[in-house]
Amino acid sequence: TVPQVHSLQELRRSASLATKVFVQRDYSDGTTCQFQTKFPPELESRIERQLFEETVKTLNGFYAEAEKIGGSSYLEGCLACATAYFIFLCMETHYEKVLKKISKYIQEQNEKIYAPRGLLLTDPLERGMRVIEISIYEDRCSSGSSSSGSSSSSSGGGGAG
Amino acid sequence: MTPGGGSGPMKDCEYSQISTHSSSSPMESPHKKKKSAPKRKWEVFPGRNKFFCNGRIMMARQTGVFYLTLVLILVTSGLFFAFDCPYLSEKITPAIPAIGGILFFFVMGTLLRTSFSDPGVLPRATPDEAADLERQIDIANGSSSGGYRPPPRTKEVIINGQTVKLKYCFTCKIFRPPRASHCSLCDNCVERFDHHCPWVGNCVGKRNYRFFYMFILSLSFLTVFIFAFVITHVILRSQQTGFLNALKDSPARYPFTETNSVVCFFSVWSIVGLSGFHTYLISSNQTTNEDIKGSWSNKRGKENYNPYSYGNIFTNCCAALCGPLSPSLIDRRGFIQPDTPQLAGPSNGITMYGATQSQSNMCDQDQCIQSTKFVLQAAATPLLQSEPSITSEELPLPGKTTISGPCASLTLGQPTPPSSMPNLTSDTGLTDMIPLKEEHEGHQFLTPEEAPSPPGMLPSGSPITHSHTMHVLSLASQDSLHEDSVRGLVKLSSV
Repeated sequence: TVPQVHSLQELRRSASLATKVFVQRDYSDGTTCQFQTKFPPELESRIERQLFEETVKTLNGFYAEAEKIGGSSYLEGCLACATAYFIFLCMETHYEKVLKKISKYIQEQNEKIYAPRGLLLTDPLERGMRVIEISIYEDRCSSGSSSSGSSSSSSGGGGAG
Repeated sequence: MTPGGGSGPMKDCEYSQISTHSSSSPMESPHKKKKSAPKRKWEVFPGRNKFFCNGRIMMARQTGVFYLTLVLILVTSGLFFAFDCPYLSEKITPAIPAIGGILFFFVMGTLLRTSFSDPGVLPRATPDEAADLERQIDIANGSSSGGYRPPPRTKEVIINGQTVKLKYCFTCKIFRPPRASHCSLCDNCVERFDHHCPWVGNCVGKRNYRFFYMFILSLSFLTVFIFAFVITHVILRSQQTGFLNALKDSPARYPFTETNSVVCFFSVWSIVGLSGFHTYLISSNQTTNEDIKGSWSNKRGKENYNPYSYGNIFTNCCAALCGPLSPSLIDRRGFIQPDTPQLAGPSNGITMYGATQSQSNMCDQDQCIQSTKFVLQAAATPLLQSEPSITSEELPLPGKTTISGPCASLTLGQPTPPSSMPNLTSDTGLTDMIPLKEEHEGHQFLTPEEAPSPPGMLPSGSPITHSHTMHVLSLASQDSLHEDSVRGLVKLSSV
């Protein structure tokens, strides 16, 4: 199911997708799921740095909670092992519960903060937990062509062009 | 990277109109694509996997050995329960079949979980992601690097003080997370890849390693158990009637006792050995892959240590066996959304691509156009791929000899083996791209360091290749070129 249906549809009716920015994973802590908090230059004009960083930090916090190795996860693991993992057929794991929280959080952030600024966050789960995809929309009827041109050339600038 | 800044915005404008139009009338696009029932994602999964029960069960392509495993376990256990248990439960205690039953139940449960679950497959990059990565790689390496070698596609990360190299997977178009590896048999990148086990008919990776370990552990106990009690049975019987009589009776009355013992005897050593090996791996938090390659061994250097280990055996074991279980990233049973861009690079040829063309049309036109421009600009080396039948395992590529080959016939350092563009190759007659084999691993990926583009290949003025490339471009639709063009960006810096 597409969580952000209403905002997405509205966004798409009045605006067009200009470009996408990808926030990559931060592996400096190992294989745990963390995203880089570096502020992408393409979003410079669209959103305040602090809001963006807060979103990413909160998401990182959620993922850390999901992957936390501690008392409750051990309990869950041992119980599952004792039942030859048949318990997974009826029980939702801790990780899945946190993922649901994350999905809600992203939806809420989109509605409150990102959609009004013409941006859209995609849940990393839909991208294999590799990236946080941020779609940048341009208003079609305004000076969309020039700004979308500049944003795409700025994101590709300095390359092998 | 857009060459003509002026033409860029105009193109964006055109295509953005298309995308808005089609997405604002959502009724149309689903209709076009979903004339039949809506497809689930497993039906268009690009890896070489088999799915059962409408996507609930996922296995590797070759499952013959798995059935053998099942048969061996079922037959051995069945014979034990049928022929040895009645005698033993009478003579000794009924706890024997009870414990045997529990062990058997555990073995079957863990085996099926290992074989049927997703090992931790990483979904392939969406076209947008892939294009963005390509851009970043080119920016990072600089187009004016001069030499003819394509830039190495690695990223370095420091994990816990240890430098780890992340490699770029040309099939999946992603930088592999640490400890991930690409399985050539299943044609997927798998997280925390341990090995591909034919006995369970699946890869063993992050999500099913604990099931695998529990399986071999419980199977060791089961085989030892059965072996011990079969021997006990024969001994007890021979005490009654004499050893030779026991053996004589046994084929008639208790057939297969000897077969059982023999099977168990050989299994015991191999399975127990394997359990011991994996216990060692778990306690040091390594994967079979890493152990075989000696990634963290002291032989590589004094400063080399395993950055993932928690320091003590107990924590390592707990983390591996009782840690949280991450969910499957590939969402097998989800329905294909018309809005979401689909994955690039199917290895099973054009069928998947055809199904998803409408999606990729809608969302990635600008990327497609940009990338296609680069193919045109590159026009240096043939880009094309082999038939799907060429699995990258067979053909090693000696870097030097290809220089002597005719320019048009070889594509060197061409990254992506299994993806195929059948329509292009059949028409142009360009021959295959032969990928490199990395030394130790049974599976395949091109390491950037080993994928040279020797100077001789670079036809700064080869008319043949140029015309071939142009010929190719005229034949193919832009969408099917998209994959090649993204790959063609690799060649850009070698131009």
